[in-house]
Amino acid sequence: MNALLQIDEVSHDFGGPALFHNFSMTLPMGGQCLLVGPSGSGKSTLINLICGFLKPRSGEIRIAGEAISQGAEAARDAVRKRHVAVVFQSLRLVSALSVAGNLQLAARLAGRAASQTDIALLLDELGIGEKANARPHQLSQGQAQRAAVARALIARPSLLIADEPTSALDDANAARVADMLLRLASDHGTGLLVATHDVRLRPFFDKAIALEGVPA
Amino acid sequence: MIRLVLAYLGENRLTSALNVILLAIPVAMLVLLLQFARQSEERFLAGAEGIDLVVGAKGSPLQLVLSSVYHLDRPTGNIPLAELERLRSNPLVASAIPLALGDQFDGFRIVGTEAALLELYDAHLARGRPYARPFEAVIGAEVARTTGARIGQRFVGSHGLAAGDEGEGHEATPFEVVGILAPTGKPVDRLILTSVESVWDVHGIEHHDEEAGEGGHEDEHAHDEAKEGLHEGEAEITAILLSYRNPSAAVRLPSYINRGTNLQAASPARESTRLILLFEPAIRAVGAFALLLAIAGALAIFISLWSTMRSRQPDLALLRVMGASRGAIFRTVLLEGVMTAGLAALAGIALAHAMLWAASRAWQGVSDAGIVAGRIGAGEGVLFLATLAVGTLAALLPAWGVTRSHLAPILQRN
Repeated sequence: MNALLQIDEVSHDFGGPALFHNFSMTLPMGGQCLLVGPSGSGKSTLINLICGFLKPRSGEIRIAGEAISQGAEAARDAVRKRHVAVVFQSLRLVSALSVAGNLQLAARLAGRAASQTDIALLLDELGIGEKANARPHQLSQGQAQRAAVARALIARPSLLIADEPTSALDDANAARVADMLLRLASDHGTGLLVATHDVRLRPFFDKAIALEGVPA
Repeated sequence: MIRLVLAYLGENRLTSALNVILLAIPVAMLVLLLQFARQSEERFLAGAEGIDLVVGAKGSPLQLVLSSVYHLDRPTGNIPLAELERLRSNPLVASAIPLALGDQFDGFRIVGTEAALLELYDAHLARGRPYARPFEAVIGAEVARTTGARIGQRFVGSHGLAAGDEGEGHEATPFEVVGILAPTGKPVDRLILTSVESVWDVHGIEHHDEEAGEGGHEDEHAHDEAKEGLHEGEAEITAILLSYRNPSAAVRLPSYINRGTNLQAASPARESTRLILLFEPAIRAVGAFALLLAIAGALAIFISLWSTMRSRQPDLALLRVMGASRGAIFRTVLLEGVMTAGLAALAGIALAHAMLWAASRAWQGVSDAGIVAGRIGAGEGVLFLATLAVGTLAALLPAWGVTRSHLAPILQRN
């Protein structure tokens, strides 16, 4: 059976010292993994490589068996569209749209059908059902984060990537977010990759990969 | 994507509205120019249909045509009635219709003429009957609409030819409305028609029915006194509308009248063209100014989109992450420019017609010239498409800039 994420001997640099040299990892279908390292350790670069925004100097990355590290941009876009959703640290909800509008847009762009009921159920599941028609600026930080996760999940991705989801949160809220991501990924059968410098998240994950020698 | 663009436009309401206004103003100016040029040309052509030549007193040929065909200017003077019969007996003349001007009611000219004038303008009675007895009148559709005059209503004419220059009233000789014409879109809509004899009677000019058209009285007044139309004691008419019997008349008749008589012959077609040519430089100048404004409007859209796209780059990068292709992002930005321009075009066209409507209500001259609101033609369609093209051009560079940007650095920055 294919792995969800297969990174084989990937090397990459930006013209200077190599950020990765023959880096490899595997994430099974529905698997969960923490990618931990300090700022500048290459977490964001690795996310960009996994999403196909960058091509590695060498090596190969496959998602659900489909190569995303090679080929034309349109082909890489198509693989990402089929399999990957990202929750950014800055959340990036489209401010001109309501919460439900953000979810509709994400579903449409991913080529998935999502009815109003699907959206309402998902928002209820995340505890922000009453905020469906609210604009992003009307949400608290926690509500906005859940809305961003809902937007990622509505596209029914095989792999959910969360970039620094807890960096600005206190311990209690960081734990709450980690629980939420793990539970939702598990409930939706989605693989989860969390990239963070926040070592507080380490106990929540069975599998963790350290970048640049940060102890896992 | 349309919903997203609408949401973006709605989010930046003030900027969007200002951009729309900036582009709508030159669009409105161009629509006004188009409307004025087209409607006045159509009006002039329709008004002169069937009239090959106008004969009147010496003076400006343009003034003669404007006063006798379009009823917009003062007559050049009067001519002896005998000239009417002389022209009618000319083998080059197919028909000659007399006009006797001098009075008005509520700004509408009272024209002494013959029934042939109705045939000339292809005018038909909507109500009532033709005038038959002295002081009976048939009124044009615009006269009826504006004054509210009905069949059987009496009115008193006063000296002068336009609203605001009413002279003494002819209270002793009131007219009675016996017929109302259906609208024609021609100058006859704004006329009050009666017999030439009625006009003479109002002014105390002696005449004998059997002599009418055969002879007249000597002009006892100085020429300039006659410029406002008929005066007491004269048996004259103001002008004659001629149609040619054959094409050779177009060559021979005007030169014969202008050189061989004390009359003046003017061609409506030629004078209308001259008038339109007179307006052309002004129309071009205003058009050029409107184009400059349109360029300024396009620049405003460009600057606005350029700065908006810079600040929206993370949003657009996110759309790419969520599955939008570069082409889709390009189209989204382009659509924003096109929708702004489209809204501006619609607003400009609506504004221009609202202004035309207000102008035709506020200024008699505008409605006299037959310019009305709501007649949207092909010109507006072309202008709409041209405005969309302007919006597209203004959005091209910002769209291209956003499309070419690399996702990884944007996402890493944010």
